[in-house]
Formats: sequence, structure tokens, C-alpha cells
Amino acid sequence: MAPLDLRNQACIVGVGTTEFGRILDKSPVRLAAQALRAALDDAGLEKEKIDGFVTAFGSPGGVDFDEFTAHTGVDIRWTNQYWTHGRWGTTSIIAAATAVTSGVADYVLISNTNTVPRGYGKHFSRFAGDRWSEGLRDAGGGQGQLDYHGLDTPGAATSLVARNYMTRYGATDEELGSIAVAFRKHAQLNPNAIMNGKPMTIDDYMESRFISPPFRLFDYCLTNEGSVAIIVTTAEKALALKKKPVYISGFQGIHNGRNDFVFFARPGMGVGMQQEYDYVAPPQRVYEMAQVEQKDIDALYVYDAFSTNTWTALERFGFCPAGEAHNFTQNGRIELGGELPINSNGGLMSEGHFSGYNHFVEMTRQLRGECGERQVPNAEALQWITPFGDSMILTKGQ
Amino acid sequence: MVASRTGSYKKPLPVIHPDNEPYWAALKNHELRLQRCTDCNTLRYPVSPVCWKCLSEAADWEKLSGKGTLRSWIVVEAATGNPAWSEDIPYVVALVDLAEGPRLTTNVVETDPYSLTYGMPLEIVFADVTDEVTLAKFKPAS
Ligand SMILES: [Zn+2]
Repeated sequence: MAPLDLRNQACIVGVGTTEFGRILDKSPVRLAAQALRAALDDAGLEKEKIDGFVTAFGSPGGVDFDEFTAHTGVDIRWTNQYWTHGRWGTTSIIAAATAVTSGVADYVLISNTNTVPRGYGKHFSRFAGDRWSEGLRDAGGGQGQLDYHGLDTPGAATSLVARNYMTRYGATDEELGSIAVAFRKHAQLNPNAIMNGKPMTIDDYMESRFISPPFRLFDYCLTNEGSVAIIVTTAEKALALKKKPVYISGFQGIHNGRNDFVFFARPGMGVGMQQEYDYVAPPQRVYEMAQVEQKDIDALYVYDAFSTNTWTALERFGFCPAGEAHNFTQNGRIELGGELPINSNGGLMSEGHFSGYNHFVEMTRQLRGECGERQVPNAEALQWITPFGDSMILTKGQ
Repeated sequence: MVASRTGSYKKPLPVIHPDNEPYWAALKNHELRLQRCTDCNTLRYPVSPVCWKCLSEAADWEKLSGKGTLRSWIVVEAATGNPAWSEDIPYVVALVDLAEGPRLTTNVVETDPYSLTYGMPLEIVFADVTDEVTLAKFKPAS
């Protein structure tokens, strides 16, 4: 039996966020409820219709499905819950799409909430500690941190990837800086972006302090508070709701093996357990499923926890050959108005780190034409990519 | 168990449990040992109860040379994780290719952090950080 064709069978019908801020000092439950209200309003849907719930638990302590239903009165018949951080965006939405198309739920809410230790997280000291859950592994595992050797943050670990990449391919600090500068530029057009009103030039970038060279301060994403809610239903039910549906046209999952994720590298880079070789991007299922060619992608959304993720993700998906992304991202190509705009919302680096769920909100609004000054003209097909191989293509449908 | 913090050492310590205890016991004796699969001969890294290649649980703890070369490194200039690392700033986190194959994430010590070069030969330093824990670090080969 051939696999079921789920192309355009499920849709995003409602998106909502809280305000985004460095410190909001609101509890995760309060934030999650505010994002839920915004998404229900956006969809024109009553709370009682929500019967499925997916969450990547948030950070450091988000709202799990028991807590969520107790506080909001949402009554569900299907749920799925992932780890506390940002690798689960695609997986969460795939789960929702397959749930509604199989009928285990009709309207699935995807919810993700972040607080920070110096914000509302200060009330949750029981989560404090010097290890991420992955760090509990003997050798750091895929995440790669090794705290007892002082490699104890994802940023320090990813700077090893950046160092490898830049040395091997001759990339410069200025080229790296162009990524942060592009995303910051986009944030100036996004009123909800945390870095809105704080423009940055390449000179500002070059003058910022080193944390773990080649990474400067602005090569890191933000740490912040806020919540995102996304509602998914079937294409059929979507037509009865308030706004034009945004179609989930294609997707593929996280790829993982000894040659994969390590420190936000792509395969072939020789970090951690990886083999070192000249990577050539294989055909990607996401395009075949969506029946969209890579050249027809109108704008791209990247999991930009760190600047080099943009390079490793572009190369992983074959937008350019291995070793050429540092050239590809120059001369305004990835800025709005360029050949391939990336992260029109400002990304995790300048809108805020909401684990990429904020990128899915942006993609939805772009396809509806709701983005004002930062609208990508005639946006028909948008793609989400990560250095770890998962991806989703959203379209306006036929 | 998390090895107990005796003395003044405030940095994170490894979690030692029966699966990996021989690795840490060897380091304490100033020997670097990794598991060699007795079914398919794969040198196992990271330390594991099973061979990632053939899933066998059988292995010998092979004594390694402690020689390696520097594949890549960063110099950490700000302690953004555990503040206990502040006293070591700037320090080197490196990928070191062991002569026998596996690539370790470790530190290069006993040299100027800004003097390192790609491919430079290194040798192991047994860093006795507590009474119970010895870490495998590296320094330029003599
Ligand atoms: Zn074996």
C-alpha cells in the first residue's frame, strides 16, 4: 500500500501569541491562556471545539497537558508531548496534521510557552540546575555539550561548528555578521519583535563582544518570555472558519543518526561523532510531498538559534552546495526584497526565541497577506527548515 | 552517583554509574581505556553498554596511547553557563582525534590558548580534579 497522501489535507486555521519580551513576569499558564484566546479569536472558533493538544513543554517549565486542561477547561481526546526545547516545531505540527486527518481529534491546539530564569522562571527554582536534560547523557549525546569539559551551553557547542565551517570554507566574520544584520532589519518591520526599534549595522555587530569566538553576542538568539498557540484542523473543516486556510502541503521529520544533529551541524562536518566528508544534499521528501520545487519557495524560515544554523540548514537542504552558504547569504539575498528572504519576522535572533513556533505564526500570516510593511509580495509557498533535517512547506493551496 | 565534591572543585562532575565506571576508574589510574567490541572489533565511543555497529554487549577495555591530534577548537571567552568556569577564562574546548580513531570533546591545557594550530600533535594529561574524578585532557606533545 502506498503511503497516504496527506498533501493539503490539514490546515493551520488560527494563530495567536502573547506579547513577546525579555521579561514579562507572567506565569506560563497565564501566557498560554492568553495565546490560546488570541488563536481562538483568530480562527473564529469556540474553546469547546478544541479536542487535541500538542506541546513541547516549554522552558524552563512550561504547561504540560494535564496542567493546561485543568486551567483552561479545554477537554481533549488526544494529546502528544515533547521535550522542553526547540527541536519539535515540525514534529508538533505533523502530529497535529496526522491527528486531524486520522480523526483521533478534530481541532488540535499546539501550544508552547517560554519563561526565563530571571523572569517568571525565578519562581521555579526546582527546575534550576547546571544540566540540560540532554546533558544527563554520559557524553552529551546528540546535543553534544559536555559540561565537565566546560562545553556547557548550546552556544559554546555550536561555536565549534562555526569554527569548523569558517576554517574549512574560508568564511569571514563579516559574512557571519550579515545573518544577524538581515534578521535584525526584518525585526524593524515587526511591531511584536523584541528587537523592534533596535536597528543594527554590520559595524555594530563587529563591535559587539565575543562570547565564544567566532560567535559574538549577536550570533546568539534571544532569551525571552511569551507564548504561541496554533490551531490545526482538516481542510474540509477549515473552509467553515473565519480566515482563509493555510495548507500544510509537505513535511518531513527530524533526521538523526551518528552523522546528524551534533551541535547544529549538518552531516559531513566532523563534529562530535560525525564523519567528515563532502556533503551533497540528497533529494528531500518535503518537496515531492508538497509538489513544490525548491526554486518556487517564496521565502524561507530557519531555526536560527545561532547564526551559523542558517548556513548549515541552507546547505543541508541544497539551497546551495556545501561550503557556499557563506557567500549565498551576502548582498541582501536573504533580506526582504532579496532573492530568498529568510526569517521575515526577525527570527529567534531578533523576534524572539519561541522555538520556531513564532516562525509558523509568521508563515501563516504571510500566506494570508497580513504582514504589512514586511509582507512578501505574492507569497504562495513558504518553507521551514532546520539544520537537523526536518521541514514543512505551507501554501495557499490550489 | 554524581561524584562527591571534595575540596574546592566547583565545576560540574561526570555522572558515574556501573556502565561507565571502568572508564572513570581507568582515568583515575592514569590510563585512557575505551571499549573494543569483541564481536566486530569496533572501538566504541561514546562509552556505552552496546556496540553502535553490531549491538553486541561484549567488549574489552582497551588501553589507548593517549596520543592524538588537534582537529578543531574554540577559546571560550565568557562563562555563559555554569559560572564556576569563570576562573578558567579563556579556556580551550577542543575536538581531539585519538591515534586509535575516536574524536573526543575535551580541553587543551598547559599552553597559551591562542597558540594552537590545526593538526598539532597532542598527548593526554590526566587531570585529577577531585579525589574520585580524573578528567582526560590534552596538551601539546613533548
Ligand atoms: Zn560490534
